[in-house]
Amino acid sequence: MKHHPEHQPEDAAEKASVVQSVLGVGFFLGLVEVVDWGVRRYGLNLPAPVLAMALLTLGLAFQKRVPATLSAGAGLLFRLFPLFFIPPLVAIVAVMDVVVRSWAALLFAVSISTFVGLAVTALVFRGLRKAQAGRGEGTP
Amino acid sequence: MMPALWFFVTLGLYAASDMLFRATGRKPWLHPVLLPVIVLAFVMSLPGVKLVDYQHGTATLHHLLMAAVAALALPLYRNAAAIRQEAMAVSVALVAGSISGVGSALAVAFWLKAPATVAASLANKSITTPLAITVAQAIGGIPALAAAVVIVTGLVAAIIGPPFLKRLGVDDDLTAGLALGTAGHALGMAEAASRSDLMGAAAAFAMAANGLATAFILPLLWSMTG
Repeated sequence: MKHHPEHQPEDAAEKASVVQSVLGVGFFLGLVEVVDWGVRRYGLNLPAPVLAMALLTLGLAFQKRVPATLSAGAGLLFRLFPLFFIPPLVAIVAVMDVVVRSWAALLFAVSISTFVGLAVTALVFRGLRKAQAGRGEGTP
Repeated sequence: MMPALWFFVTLGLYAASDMLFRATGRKPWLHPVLLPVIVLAFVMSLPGVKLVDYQHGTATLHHLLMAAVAALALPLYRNAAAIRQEAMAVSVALVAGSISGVGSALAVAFWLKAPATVAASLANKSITTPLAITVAQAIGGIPALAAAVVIVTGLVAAIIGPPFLKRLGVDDDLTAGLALGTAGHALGMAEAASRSDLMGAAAAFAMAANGLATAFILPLLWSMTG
């Protein structure tokens, strides 16, 4: 197979990017495992991934920069984010009997409250922001 | 079917569904999660097909989901200044969105005379799955149902959230991210992260703050109301 010399730097950069992405994903997997171990060890009633996110945010704030490896790993994970939710959604078949029995309550409660939650959060935030901006403009 | 094959089946279905989603101009009802879930849930209901095999085969995706949640520290750190600048408005909006979301879900459940266990499972609908399971156990809900409600809530928010917010006139990423993270937890956050860095960061912050606050406050409120 022939390689065009002008493609070689691009290929090398692509390979380096793939390696960085894989290393980055490996770091996040390892971090969650370590935090999960800590959560179990100390009997904390908190989800390990959320705690890992909080700890990593503090770590980055302390270090004041984001390593390229982590950036590449996060980019790869975010591109595939929806894929990771397929298995927990498929697992709903395990509680299908309860879902069928209370379908109306579940359907209306979930859909109405999701609309309400979205609207209230967005409108309250927008209202307060406008009020603050108005006060800011009125300040001499 | 060998459990490991389920991983590739899920991957293939997702890839095909994602291509269809992009080719049709990102129609909300063709969200790339929807089609694989419908197909796989149907397959799981067939005789001789075991859900436990599917769960074994796709365990890697579960670990990657946990890793992706931890990775949200990056957009959160990069956009911390924008969130901090509006700290008061962000906090009040989160509390209002969280209380109204849980309150309206419970109001509908009681109005439709849902059993107490179903109502207790619905109370966790807007917090991330691991927290929802813990809280459901604490207040007498059904953990598996709580997990299902959480996931479906997230899917509803991810599918209808962006067009609904657009109709409300929400055109900035910070507001949309806060709403998606508060009402749609991790799936809403995934949708937000796929749209912009700031939207993803706001959603990550909203999801974490709402989840942790609900996990601490809901069991207390539930025990007080009996």
